[in-house]
Amino acid sequence: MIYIILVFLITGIICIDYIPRRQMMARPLRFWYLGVCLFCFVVLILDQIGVPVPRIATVLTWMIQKICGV
Amino acid sequence: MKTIHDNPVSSREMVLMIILFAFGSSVVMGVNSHTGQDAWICLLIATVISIPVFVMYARIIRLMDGKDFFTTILDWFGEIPGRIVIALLVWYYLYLAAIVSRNFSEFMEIVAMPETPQIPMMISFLLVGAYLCKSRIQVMSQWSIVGLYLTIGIMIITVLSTIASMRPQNLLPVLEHSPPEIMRSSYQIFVFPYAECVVFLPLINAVKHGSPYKIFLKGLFYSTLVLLVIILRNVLTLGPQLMEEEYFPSYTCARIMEIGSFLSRIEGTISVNFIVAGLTKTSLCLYSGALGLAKLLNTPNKLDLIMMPIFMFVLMLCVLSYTDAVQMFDFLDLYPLYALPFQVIVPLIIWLVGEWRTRSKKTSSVQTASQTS
Amino acid sequence: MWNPFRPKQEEKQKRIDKVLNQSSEQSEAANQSQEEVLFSSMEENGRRFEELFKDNDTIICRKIQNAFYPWLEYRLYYSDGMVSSSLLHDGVLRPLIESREKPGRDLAESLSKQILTASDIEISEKWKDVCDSVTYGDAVLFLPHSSRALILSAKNFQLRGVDEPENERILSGPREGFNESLLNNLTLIRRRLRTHDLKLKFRTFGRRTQTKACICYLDGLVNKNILKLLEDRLNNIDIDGVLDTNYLSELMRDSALSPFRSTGYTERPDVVAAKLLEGRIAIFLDGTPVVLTVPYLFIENFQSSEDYYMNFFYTSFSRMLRILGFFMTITVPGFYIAIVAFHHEMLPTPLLINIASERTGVPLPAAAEAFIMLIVFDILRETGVRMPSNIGQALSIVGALVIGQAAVEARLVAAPMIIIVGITGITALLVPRMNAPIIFVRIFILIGSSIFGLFGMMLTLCALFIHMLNLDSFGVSQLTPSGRLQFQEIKDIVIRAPWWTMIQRPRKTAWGTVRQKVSPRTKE
Repeated sequence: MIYIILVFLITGIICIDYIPRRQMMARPLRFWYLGVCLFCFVVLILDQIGVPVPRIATVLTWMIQKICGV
Repeated sequence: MKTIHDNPVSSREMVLMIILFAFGSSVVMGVNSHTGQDAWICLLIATVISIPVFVMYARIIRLMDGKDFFTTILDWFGEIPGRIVIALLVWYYLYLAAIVSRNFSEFMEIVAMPETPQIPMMISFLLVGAYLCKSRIQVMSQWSIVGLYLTIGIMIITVLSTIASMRPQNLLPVLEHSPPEIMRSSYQIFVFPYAECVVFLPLINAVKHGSPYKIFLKGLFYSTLVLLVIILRNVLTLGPQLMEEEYFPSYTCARIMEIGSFLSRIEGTISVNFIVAGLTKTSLCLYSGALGLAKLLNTPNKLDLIMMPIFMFVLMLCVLSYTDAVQMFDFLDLYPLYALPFQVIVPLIIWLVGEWRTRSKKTSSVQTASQTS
Repeated sequence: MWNPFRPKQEEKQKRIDKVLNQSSEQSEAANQSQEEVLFSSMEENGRRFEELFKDNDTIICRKIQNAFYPWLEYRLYYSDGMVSSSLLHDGVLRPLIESREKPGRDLAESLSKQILTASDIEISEKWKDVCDSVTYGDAVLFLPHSSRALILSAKNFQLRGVDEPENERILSGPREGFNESLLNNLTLIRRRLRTHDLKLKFRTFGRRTQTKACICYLDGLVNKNILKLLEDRLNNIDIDGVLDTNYLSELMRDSALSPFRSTGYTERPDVVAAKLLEGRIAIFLDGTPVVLTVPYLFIENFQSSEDYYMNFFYTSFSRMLRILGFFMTITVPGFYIAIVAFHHEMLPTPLLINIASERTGVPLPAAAEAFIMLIVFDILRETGVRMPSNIGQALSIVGALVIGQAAVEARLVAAPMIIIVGITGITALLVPRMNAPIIFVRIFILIGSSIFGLFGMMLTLCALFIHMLNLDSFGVSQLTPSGRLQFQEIKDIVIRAPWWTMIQRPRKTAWGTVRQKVSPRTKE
């Protein structure tokens, strides 16, 4: 179910926001736009599938413990 | 042609935005401290700690003299270090937006809808936040006028409705906790929510006439008042132990309240408070982050083009922030250490470099003036 | 995969280009022919005219010869049914036939000034003017050995009378309404604003309809920036035909996809006069009684002209009731669904037990029920609009309730749903101007609350409010016209303050802000 929602979301973003405004964006910006959107989409799908993506809080906790020696 | 987007934001509206921002997550998470009945003392001490930090923020704005925040950082620091500073700030703002949305979706899930998956809630919340952000600062200021009066009105109604179940004994014994604990708790309150007003650094230059000192300090003062009322209401109604154990003390307060003898358990209407405050906080963080990102990517300041990737990025951060609600509440203990560099150290560096640059520019202009004369 | 039966993209594009070029060539040829000037000979003019209006059997040709000078021959062309034959008879035919005066050297000048007694005569040399005027009800007189023609105004066509528009009835106050003639409508306005500051500028729209429109404003009060913006947008309109002001409204609106309007419309002259006095601009169009007013503020959805003709306590209350009605009609279905499906604990226990017992045995979930009942109610309301008026009104409301009752007895829907739908429909009638946005917004909020409960409803309401804050109308923000809420504006927004307090005009729409010099009450 969540996969369907995510797929709808990314197609909605690309069809409604990206394609009508393509002309206004310079080339590097277009690549950045699509790159970021697709990267985030892929990470979200991976997270849904079950691939153990590390949580930011875990990473930050580990970093703070390493730095402050707590 | 003058549209709503051409009107300058007034300083009164900026103060209201600061209050609503400080109100933001605290409405949901409560001012979570481990000092039950002394929480209000910790709040006052936290206010005192925040005053110099806010004065520093205002001084930074005053040094920039009306120019755009990120442009001035690039001027002061040069290209590469300036971009690093902006990138750090942007990361902080966007992650803060993700944390706030995660707070709210966890809240909605725990309290009302345990079976609904969280991702649709996050998506809808962030979509409305991104829409508000895309509408620029003027619409946000009008929104926050209405939002703040609505929120304060509902808060007053909750206070009046819970007066019947308040017990002044809950405030005793005063100062039961030892000073190190109180200081630690005050520091926590300072970090969350007060020092998060670092988010306002890029936004204050939208106010054309008004002293940044007055804006920040007025905002601090009024938000202290509001948070004091919330804390006192929670402590007096729930008592210290219950307040420490509950995940969402404000919500529990709302559950107890009764209007007349027939209308009870109307805590659903408190959701308007939470949504308004949370939306404002998320949008302000998104807006500052988007302004910084627009500077980094060299796009013009119209944020329409980059809003959607920012939305997707923050959505991803939001999903990936915590494994579950327990980790969310545990991370609150470590949050001060994570936030300290962004809230205090980076503005400190900016301030020092700003003072140095402005002074050297003044002396060089004085020198050239004396040379020509 | 290349499909041999499907034409390739380039060939399709070529065909479209060819058709466009052809039609543009035709219209260019037509335009060119109309830019030409008349011939010098009356016979050639007549022949050309009849060629242009070939197969147009309503055009009548009247050949005239003066009784005393047989070499003075004229030809008169007019469109049967559009001219007043008595005007032609007395003003044109009789003088031409019976005049003993010898016309001077310049035939056109002397005819128009000394011989013809018609009240409005123009001299023209262009085919465009000749054709336009015959199609509008004027008569054209071709002169011998002259390349100038006389255009005589003799319009007389059937029009509807000046009566109160059906949609904007009021309890007390003037009962005049616009009709389809542009000049009649302008007369109604001029009688109310007898100042030389009232400017009326004509324009035409539509390549094939050549509809006349009039931009109307008070020169000392209008905001010149808005006027310039309006004229720029109107200049950009290039369309085949304009039949109603709604065409113009949609072609020049600010936000293309919003359900809310950005231009006001009305059929009453007193409303237009009041708006002109506030510094707004009115756009009249020939052939429709609906007049546009620009700029449009959100609060005008809730204002009615009788607010100013009746006691201010009563009208303040009515206005607040209308705003409340709007709010209720969009939120009540969503609120009900949110409570019944998500937050049962909010209802007092006896009510909860009642509703639960009503809902047993109903097959559909509450949200689906709500959707279906709302659609059924809208179908019945729409049917009631099209019915003959005797049974129309009764059918819509009563029919909805009767069908609803039958549905309840058949256990298809729950009884509280009928009440909710009834409340929704009746409160929607409080603000008839907002029919279009209400339908859309109500469904949006219903979807939000059926997915996420009260949180979803609050989120959608917030999204709606943000959208309303973003609305612009010709450069003026619709919800906060002066940039932020000011006390002066509130006087006319939520309440209707008495006339002796309204000393200033709303700031952003007008140029001069002082409406009355001093309040009459302070003179006592």
